[in-house]
Amino acid sequence: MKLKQALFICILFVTTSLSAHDYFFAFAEMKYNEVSGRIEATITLTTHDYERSLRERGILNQEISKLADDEEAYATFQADLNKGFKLNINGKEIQFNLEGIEVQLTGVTNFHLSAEVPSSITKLEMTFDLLMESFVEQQNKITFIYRNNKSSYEFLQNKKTQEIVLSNE
Amino acid sequence: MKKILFCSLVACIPSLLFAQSKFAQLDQELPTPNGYRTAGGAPGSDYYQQKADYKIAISINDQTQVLSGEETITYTNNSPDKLEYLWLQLDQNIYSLDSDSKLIEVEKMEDFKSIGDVKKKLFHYDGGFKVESITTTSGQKMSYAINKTMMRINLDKALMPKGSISFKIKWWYNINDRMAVGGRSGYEYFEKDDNYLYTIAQFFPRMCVYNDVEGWQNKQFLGKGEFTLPFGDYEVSITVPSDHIIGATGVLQNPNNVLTAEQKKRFEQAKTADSPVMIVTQAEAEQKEKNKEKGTKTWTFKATNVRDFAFASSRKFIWDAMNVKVGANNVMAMSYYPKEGNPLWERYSTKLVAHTIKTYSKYTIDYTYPVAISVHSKWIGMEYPMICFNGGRPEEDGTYSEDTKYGMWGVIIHEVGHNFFPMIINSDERQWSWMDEGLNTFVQYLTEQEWERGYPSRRGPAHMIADYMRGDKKYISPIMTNSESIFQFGNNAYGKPATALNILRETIMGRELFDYAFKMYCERWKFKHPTPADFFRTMEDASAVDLDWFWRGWFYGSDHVDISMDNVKWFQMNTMNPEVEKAIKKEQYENRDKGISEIRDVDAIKQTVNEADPSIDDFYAKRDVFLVDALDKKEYEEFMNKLSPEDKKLLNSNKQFYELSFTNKGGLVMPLIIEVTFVDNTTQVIRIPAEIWRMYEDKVSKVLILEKEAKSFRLDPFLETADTDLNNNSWPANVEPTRYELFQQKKMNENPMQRQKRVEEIKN
Repeated sequence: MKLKQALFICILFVTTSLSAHDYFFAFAEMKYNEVSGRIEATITLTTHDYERSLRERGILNQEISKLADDEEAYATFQADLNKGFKLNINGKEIQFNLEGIEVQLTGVTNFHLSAEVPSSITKLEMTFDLLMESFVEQQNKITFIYRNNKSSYEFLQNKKTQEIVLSNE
Repeated sequence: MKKILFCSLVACIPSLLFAQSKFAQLDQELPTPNGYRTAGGAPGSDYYQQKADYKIAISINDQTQVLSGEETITYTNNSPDKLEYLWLQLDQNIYSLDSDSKLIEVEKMEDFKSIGDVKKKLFHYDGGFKVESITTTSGQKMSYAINKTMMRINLDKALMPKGSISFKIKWWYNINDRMAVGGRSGYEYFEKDDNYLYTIAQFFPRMCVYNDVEGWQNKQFLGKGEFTLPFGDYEVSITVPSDHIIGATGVLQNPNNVLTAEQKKRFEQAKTADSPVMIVTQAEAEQKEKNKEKGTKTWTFKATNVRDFAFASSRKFIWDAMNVKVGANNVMAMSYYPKEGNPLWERYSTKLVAHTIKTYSKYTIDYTYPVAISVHSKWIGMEYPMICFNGGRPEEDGTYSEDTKYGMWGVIIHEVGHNFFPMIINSDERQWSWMDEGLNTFVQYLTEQEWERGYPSRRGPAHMIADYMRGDKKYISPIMTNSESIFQFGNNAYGKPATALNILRETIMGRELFDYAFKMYCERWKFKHPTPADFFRTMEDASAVDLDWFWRGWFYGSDHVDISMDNVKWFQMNTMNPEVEKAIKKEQYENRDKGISEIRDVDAIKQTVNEADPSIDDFYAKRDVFLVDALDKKEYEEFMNKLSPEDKKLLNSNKQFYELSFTNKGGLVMPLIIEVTFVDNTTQVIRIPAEIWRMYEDKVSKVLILEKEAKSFRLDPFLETADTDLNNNSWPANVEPTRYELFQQKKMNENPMQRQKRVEEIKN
């Protein structure tokens, strides 16, 4: 049943690898805020890549800058980002709230998100395949800040999920 | 003792060997200099390059979107080698049904989860070259073999040095729908007015480069590594619907046959105009969109000493042009765009073309081609000699966002800039994308900054590459990686080299040394084929700066910059004056940290034995160690008598000594740029060259001798080294806010729309 639904929804072509001068990256900076007990994240991606992906997937057909204050669009962005930026903490899937969008003139857009998480994090499974279904060359990276230590994780077409075991010592 | 000494020697050996590796010369990585390419990075006395001249006649069928053509290639062998065969590129074969490009994509079943995915995977478009014949100029068939995107023509008789050969090829192919299939060239269909806009390139079998470095550069075209092409002269005739306007590489040879009298008049006006002149107006283009003439016209262009030819054709084209003076040359800056590009294109495109060739000429070489053209082509940016295809399309209602505007500006500057890299400074794109994309992105940054103060450039400033550079090295390619094997192509081939050059210019070499050396590289290699070694060597040779460590770290390695400031120790000079030094010691003693028992015992112990019995205290107990006695004074006097006036001045200068310790956490060595803030809030910047790491690559310390007392130190205060972690750059420690925290700090309590509502309320 699920498959049937998907078959009818997605009827558009996605981009091949033949376009010139590509960007195809998304970076996320993610921090566990021990005071608020929330994960705070900023996803930075190339605006025109994301606009193109949204358009080609039939989700939105306008520039992000025009939608940054539109409530309905906000909900759409939030749902889409939660599909491509997933966090599973101690075996429980986390849902992010989209708290703000900043379209930069440098060609990137920052999506600011946060989510309440369990007080004791021991294992964190991250999936960051945002835009990978649209662009075969898409590569993403998360920089995770935990107790003032930074570590970075790469996400590729054949490596969309990474697991971190945290030491709470 | 002996044992300890032995151990420390053993421990030092690997450390020193490793330390040397970061500053080791690049002798093993670079090819041995020879008669073709000198040790200084210039073309050698034996340097040669091949020549490929083309006479091409093609036509586009606007009903079927088929391009068919015939060409005569004259190939001149300037090499000292005899050539038994010739290699040509059939790049359009990337769209052949048996193309390797799709086969080499990594796939999983999850890539087939929707009908869109399945449709994409099963979608086949046959866009490969259909070669109909290859013959000698007298019509005799020549033997050939096609290997995917490469074609070998077998010669009956080897082509000897200084010899040349002419032959003919006839072919056709289906032009790709760029909006569906993608691609650097193709067509865009405008459903509303039922018209096509063609941006055409890689449309003819092109000669491969044969040179002293690769022999034949016949590496297959897989999609990323672009083109490697010899220079030559072109004469190209293009037959299209009679109401089409064509913009192309080169100079139009038959304006009388293809332009109206009015268009010719305007074209002549544009040749001396210092602002754009409309040659075809939007109203005229819109009229043609409706009328759709049935006949055809043939446009003929000639281009001299170019490495390729491309063109754009449509009845939708609006066309404007202006003159740009570059050195002694008059250049026609021109733009071709459909009405869908307005209002952005009419306002900016040609002015951007003019600005770009002028600014690039300042930093590289004078632009010597007669025209420079920007064509509007939705979504992409792609470059060819004298002409490029650029995105940046407003909304259908004619409005556009600010980021669309900057996106359009940036892509035009970038693609027009490609005229210099690689169209004139003709590097091997198939092998090294960074040599054109990286160098071009760097000069693009300089050009953008001269277009508008504070221009929000996408690439160039060091801090913008930090996100890319940190992380698992397994997935970060060195810049010196073949174009097809690069992780994160855009950041690797464009962003990182552009940043590296910016760092060289601003931080390592300084603007004067860098600009001279960079210009020298461009002068040496204009209309030639440079390699990475030629670039690396010229930059050193013309500046007297040993940059091998920099090339090794930034171009051959994947380390990132993360230098931490670990510790700061403060010292002051001993004046040797007992009056001063003993007073300081006394103060230190009185202000020393006291243990809890000592504090409590002051009151708890009412009287000690020696306090009650004076006979207990002897000489040691009674002496005042902080008292300045006659001997102290005499010794001080003797000491002072031995000093010169300069020494005395130095001794009394009140200099402050700070020992700073640093750790190289990221692995990539960089200069230490330290900003000192003094207690009086003044600042001083101290720059220590990267060579401080030459023997000890992991940890170094440096003593700063300052005139005043400092209150804080900050590493890389101008964000010029691409340091990926700024949290360990300050003393006292200062944790940088995350992007999320910055956003929260500046977030307003109301969104801009709510604010606008309040503005309206005030108005009402």
